[in-house]
Amino acid sequence: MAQNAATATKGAVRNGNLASVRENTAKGVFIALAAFSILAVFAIVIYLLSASIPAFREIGLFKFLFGSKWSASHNIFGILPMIVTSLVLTVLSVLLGGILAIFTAVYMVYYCPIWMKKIYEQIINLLAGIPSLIFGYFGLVVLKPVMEDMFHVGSASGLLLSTIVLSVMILPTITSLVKNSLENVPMHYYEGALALGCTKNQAVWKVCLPAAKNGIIAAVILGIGRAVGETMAVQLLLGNQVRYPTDFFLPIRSLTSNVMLEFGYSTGLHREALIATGFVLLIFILIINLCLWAVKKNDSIAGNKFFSRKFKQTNSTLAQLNYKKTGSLQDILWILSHIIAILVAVVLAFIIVFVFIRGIPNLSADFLFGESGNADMTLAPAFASTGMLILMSLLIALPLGIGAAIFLTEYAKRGSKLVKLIRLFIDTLAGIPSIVFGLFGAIFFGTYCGMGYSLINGSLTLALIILPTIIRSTEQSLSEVPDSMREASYALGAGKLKTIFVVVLPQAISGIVTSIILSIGRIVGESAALIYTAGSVSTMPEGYGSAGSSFAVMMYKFMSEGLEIDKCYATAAILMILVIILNILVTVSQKFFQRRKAK
Amino acid sequence: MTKAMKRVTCLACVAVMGLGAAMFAACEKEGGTDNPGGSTEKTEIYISGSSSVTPLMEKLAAVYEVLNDEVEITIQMSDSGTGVADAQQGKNDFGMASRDLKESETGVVSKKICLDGVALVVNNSCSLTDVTGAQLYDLYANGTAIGSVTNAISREDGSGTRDAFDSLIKNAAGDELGDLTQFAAVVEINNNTGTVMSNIAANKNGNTIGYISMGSLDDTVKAVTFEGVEPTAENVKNGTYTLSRPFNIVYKSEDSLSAAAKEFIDFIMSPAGQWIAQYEGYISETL
Repeated sequence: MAQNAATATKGAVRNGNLASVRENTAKGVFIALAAFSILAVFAIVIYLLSASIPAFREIGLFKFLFGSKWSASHNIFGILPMIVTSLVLTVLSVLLGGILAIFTAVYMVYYCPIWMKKIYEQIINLLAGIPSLIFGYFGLVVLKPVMEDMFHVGSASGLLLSTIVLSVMILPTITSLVKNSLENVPMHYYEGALALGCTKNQAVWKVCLPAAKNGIIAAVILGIGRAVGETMAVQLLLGNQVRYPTDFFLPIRSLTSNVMLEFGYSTGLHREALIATGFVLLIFILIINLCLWAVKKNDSIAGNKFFSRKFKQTNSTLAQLNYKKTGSLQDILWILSHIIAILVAVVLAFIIVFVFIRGIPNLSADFLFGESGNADMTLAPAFASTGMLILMSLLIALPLGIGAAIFLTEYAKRGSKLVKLIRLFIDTLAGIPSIVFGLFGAIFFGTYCGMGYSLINGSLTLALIILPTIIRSTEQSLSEVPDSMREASYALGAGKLKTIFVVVLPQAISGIVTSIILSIGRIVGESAALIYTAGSVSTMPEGYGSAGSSFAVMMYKFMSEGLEIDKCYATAAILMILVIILNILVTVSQKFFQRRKAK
Repeated sequence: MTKAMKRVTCLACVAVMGLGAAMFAACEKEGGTDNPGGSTEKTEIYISGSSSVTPLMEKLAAVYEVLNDEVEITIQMSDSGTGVADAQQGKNDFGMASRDLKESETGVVSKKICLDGVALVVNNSCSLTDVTGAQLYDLYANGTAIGSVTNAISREDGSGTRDAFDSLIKNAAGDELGDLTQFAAVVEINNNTGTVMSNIAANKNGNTIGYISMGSLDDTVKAVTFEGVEPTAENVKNGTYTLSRPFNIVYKSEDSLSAAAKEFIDFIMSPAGQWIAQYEGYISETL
């Protein structure tokens, strides 16, 4: 990158054009920032591979991948049942969650009144923000007993319970992305269908939804990533025996829960085998991404980009025309989307009420802010640690993410090989499960770089996790800025850099702010990646060199000791309150930016 | 141009800082009041290891910190394996392990600070009152129900509690649970005491049995007798309740310990420290 910039600089000086030096340097910097994702993915893959080679060598690659038994105390390491479990669980939950999500998104975009849509946006964001530990705990103490009564089984742990909880967990990811791409379907698709005599339902289900196909595939990629990588919730719900998933109510173990369960206790070959498990998980993510990348068509929705309005720019209720109902499939889908949307709202309400009823009575000023000691643990250190993690990881990830997004939308030729490559790597990074990031952080930042359990280790790991979110969200809003604005800016004599910072970025600031808030939500709720990187201590951090527990890790700590269940619920309530506050912030900031735009 | 650019950058910065730092700022203040000036240098003791020993160590540390103002003890909860590995690498002052050292774990010595009983727990609504080792073996190995109890919970491989349980539960022929490479399909695996307890407490129809550290027993679950013997401190001490295991601390050698760590260990082994262990539900061998 430095070389790039240097040669660019030389050429420009010869031209005697200072502006061009700046432009070229900037371009070099943006390319470097965009290439960082590629570097990060390579670093993770290569480092995990090199750390798991001893295991492959000692156990034998074939025995490791296709062995049906895993018993660490007997030195038997075969992960096939876990591979099968992870795949089956992912497929089922993406199917269930994806269907629910698509219906919910369609309901939000086409059927619900404007005021209701705003509520639903909040609901989806709230659901997305709930930490996986809370989902897992909810499934364990509420859903599991209910299912045991319903199906008359001894223990409901296993595939069905995990699928249900997991599908609710990935629902918001898929819903919000599907919603975005539905809103970007040009209005004339819809109007054209109506004009040809379709009913509203036919226009929605047969024209608009297929038109958003690319967005839906992208949403499903993210959903798969989330499902494959989910750790904390599934390890509470799966039952965790190493078996093939031959029944809905059999205790089974996924790749992620294997790492989470045993990594802490492991030494020597056992530890290497667990790192190798993480590596296999990573390979799966790479394969999934490659497949979908190959399937995905690279062209976006066709249409005249200068004159066509997007669905989101119109008031959807205005278009609610009353053609006669035909009783067709689309009308059944219409009913279904309403039912599912109500269901989603009810689930969210249930979880929130549950957490608050159990948690709020245990909250006290002393528990929140009192001095934390070994005898009486409070949340004050968690406030500090979480704040420090958020600050540092955003400081690292934001410049990288925004720079990469600028390169992708403003500099790179649309559809060029480099862009495709970078996108592929961003998708890959997004799909890497947080437990794998945790493994990487633990063995690379922690052991190799000597950071040990520290907040800086946690921040670096988190920065990698939130980077794709920031890139995607920024890129999305940058690409929504109409080209006519850029062209107008060039026509007025502005340079590229000036156009980007003065014209384009201000238009996209709402997307950036949203991505920041989403990232904060991710960090607040993250536990799997932090337990082995930032550590789990109950003391106040003294700086980025000391270990610290974020809220979710603190909740895990309270939960795992068994004596502090009240504090566990109280922490869960705090987490929920934080999530709600963050959501309000998103709304307020977006309103602010809209008003500013209107001026 | 620069003005507008600055405004954008400023906005972005404010957004980051504002949102990120809000909480941070709030507790910086908090931290400030906790340690005004920070003038007194504190001696630090860093302990890491077993999550079973952690609750006890936290109580011991809390009392010790009150007695010795100048000492600050940080406890990193993970597991026995990490506790030992950290001690081997000199990463901690001493490690905690809820089991004896393995043959492969060389270069360190262990010191038993107390004993912990393994309590067998069921839901409060469960009618089961007593189990035998053979019954437990059959349930965990073959899925044979013990009365109304059809399901069981175990811990993950490597857990000190599971090590103890697996080596102590035998069938009539003397086979240990630990020899099995796979449990029956009715056995679930949870990865910490808290999850086992939550699972049992939520198990309203009372068909599941699990095991936890005796020190973690509370009224959310019910302990059953093992071969007729109550899980109490006296019964563990006099050997009638056989489901027990040692709590160890692990370090390179007596000489390698820092002065502060040595003093803390002396405190743990003193009658005061042992009494705290006893009070917390663990079993002192010396009291």
